[in-house]
Amino acid sequence: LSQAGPDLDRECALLCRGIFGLEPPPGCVDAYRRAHAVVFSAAPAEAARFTEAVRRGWDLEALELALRLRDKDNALTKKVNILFYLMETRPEGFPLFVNTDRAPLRAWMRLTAETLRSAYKLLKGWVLLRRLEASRG
Amino acid sequence: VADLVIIGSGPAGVWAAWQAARRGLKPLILDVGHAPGADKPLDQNLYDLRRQDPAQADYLVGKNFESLNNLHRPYQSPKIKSPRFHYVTQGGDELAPMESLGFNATQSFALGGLANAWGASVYRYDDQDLRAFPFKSRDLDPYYDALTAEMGISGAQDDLSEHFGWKGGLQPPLRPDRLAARLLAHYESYRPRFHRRGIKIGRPNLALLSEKLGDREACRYDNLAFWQPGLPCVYSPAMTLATLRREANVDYRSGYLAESFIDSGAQVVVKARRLQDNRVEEFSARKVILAAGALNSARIVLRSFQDTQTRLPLLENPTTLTPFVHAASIGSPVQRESHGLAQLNTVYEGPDWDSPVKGTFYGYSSPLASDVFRDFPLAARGVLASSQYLLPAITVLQLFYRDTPNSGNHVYLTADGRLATRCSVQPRLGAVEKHFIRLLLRAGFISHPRLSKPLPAGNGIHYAGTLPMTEDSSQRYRTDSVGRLACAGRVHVADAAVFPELPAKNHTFTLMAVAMRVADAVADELGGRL
Repeated sequence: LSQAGPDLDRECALLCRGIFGLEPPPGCVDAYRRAHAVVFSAAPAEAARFTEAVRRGWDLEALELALRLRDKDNALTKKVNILFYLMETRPEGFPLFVNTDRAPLRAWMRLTAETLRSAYKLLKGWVLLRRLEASRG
Repeated sequence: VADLVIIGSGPAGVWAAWQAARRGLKPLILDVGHAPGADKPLDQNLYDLRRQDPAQADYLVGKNFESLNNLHRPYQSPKIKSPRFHYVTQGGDELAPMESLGFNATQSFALGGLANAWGASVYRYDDQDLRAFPFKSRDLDPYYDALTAEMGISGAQDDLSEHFGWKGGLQPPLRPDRLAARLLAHYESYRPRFHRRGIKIGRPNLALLSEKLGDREACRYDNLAFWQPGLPCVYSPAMTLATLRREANVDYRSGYLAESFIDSGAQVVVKARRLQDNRVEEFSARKVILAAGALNSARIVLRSFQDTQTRLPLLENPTTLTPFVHAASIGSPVQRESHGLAQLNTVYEGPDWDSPVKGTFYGYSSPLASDVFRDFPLAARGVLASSQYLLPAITVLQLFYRDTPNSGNHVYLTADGRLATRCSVQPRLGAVEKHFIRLLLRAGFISHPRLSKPLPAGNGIHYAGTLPMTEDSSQRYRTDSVGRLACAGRVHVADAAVFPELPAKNHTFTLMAVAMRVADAVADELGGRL
């Protein structure tokens, strides 16, 4: 019932590209696999629930938001959170997570844009979630 | 037969030992004593490390992914789950299994106890705080003064001094971070408005050095307090224990888990399991001081009497967290130079709560943004933007409320030897938070009552009250004013188990003072020098 290695690699790459706009940095996929094994050690089947969505190349960011607003302890949110930890704690992630300049205008514009984008992603996520639930019967 | 055996090396055990040693005794300390790893100390600012160090995941996430704890295990605070602090809670589930019934307890078997990962906030209890205790604040003053001199405490004389009881002996206060400085300036400009609502704000009193003390260096504002245990500027009981051992004032034995005792009237025999080979050894003493923490001291007492029937009271401060965004600081750079601990303190005394409520404002410069990923209602890329631009503008208010005994919250020993912690009564909170939300809005700090969240029971970590100092003779396991167990006269309890109530102020400093007072009484009985 647990996810196969290649599926995890694809999942990590898909999330990395979709959220951070990057290919996974060296070592990130391996760390993702190991962290994944720790976090889902007691519930491997839960982790495998999104394999089909990964294979179809769905918008995981949208699906994750819809799931998180319903239940923040869902498996996909945990997967994205794992990747956040891994990216935040490597030098490549530093400029993505930390602002070192005074940039109020850029901040407000970016946060406004991301709020609007999140609304769109949420609508998309709900549609994907319904499709996912329908496919599981 | 030893004069005195002390069980545990947390703040209570260490300061009981310190006082006993001062009185000419040489206590034997039995302790599990997990110690920090031998990692190379971090010696740069957190943000320099995060910008450059390719190996940072080893200590920020952990080789065993300790920082991911909250994704698959019961919640732990960012500092407790930090990889290098793992030793603080290491082995708790195996050494002292618990059954959690609505109360998720954190235990420590580390040398120095949970105070290795504490927030370093220190408060003196006043007579109002001690209303249920069988002594007054003046009885604790000499111990508070001795602790202040030994530990090194920074703070200011301000509006909160009367609440926290400081009259002097403090190092200068630490530099507040940007948001705290703004909030404090606003408070000072509009003080009467705050006072009308029963709110006072001031600088925190921290066991964190702003100036060199002995061979301990002052705080470097490097944001490492969450990531590097044993920073010399942050006081830990492990430091005092190291001094006691160096000066041969105690006999410290690690690797022993105390399980029970037998008080024969003439002496006490402590049974402790040697973890190396699981063999039970016996230690005889004229007196025993239990200082294993409110939960573990209760476990030892109940096991000693093989009592699976009695329900002991359990206290913990109800706690809420309320985030505030300072709108004008959105887009500010990260607060690179901060100590990461409490930035400001506050007290509420008004009609919406029947006793003073104590609060602390924290910045968000030390923990990882990933810790709060699930709390943002935005898509992942939006959370990323919030991490950059919103987190440096956030301050979090943590409010603590007094707790008193009630029948719904208790501990007991199960038939298989586990300690069950049950919490079924939680107060309805939120009214006090609304005062802060309204007042701080005028200073540009935005929040909403729906953002205010209570911490789940057990996560506040301030446990107390299991073996209370009370005259209620219906309680078999009560203690007297010097911590003596009613059912075992040679056994004294010196940790927070003896608190009959738990005031809103963090209890660590007071439990140290109480432990010293208990040790003094024990020394009197053992004929220690004056």
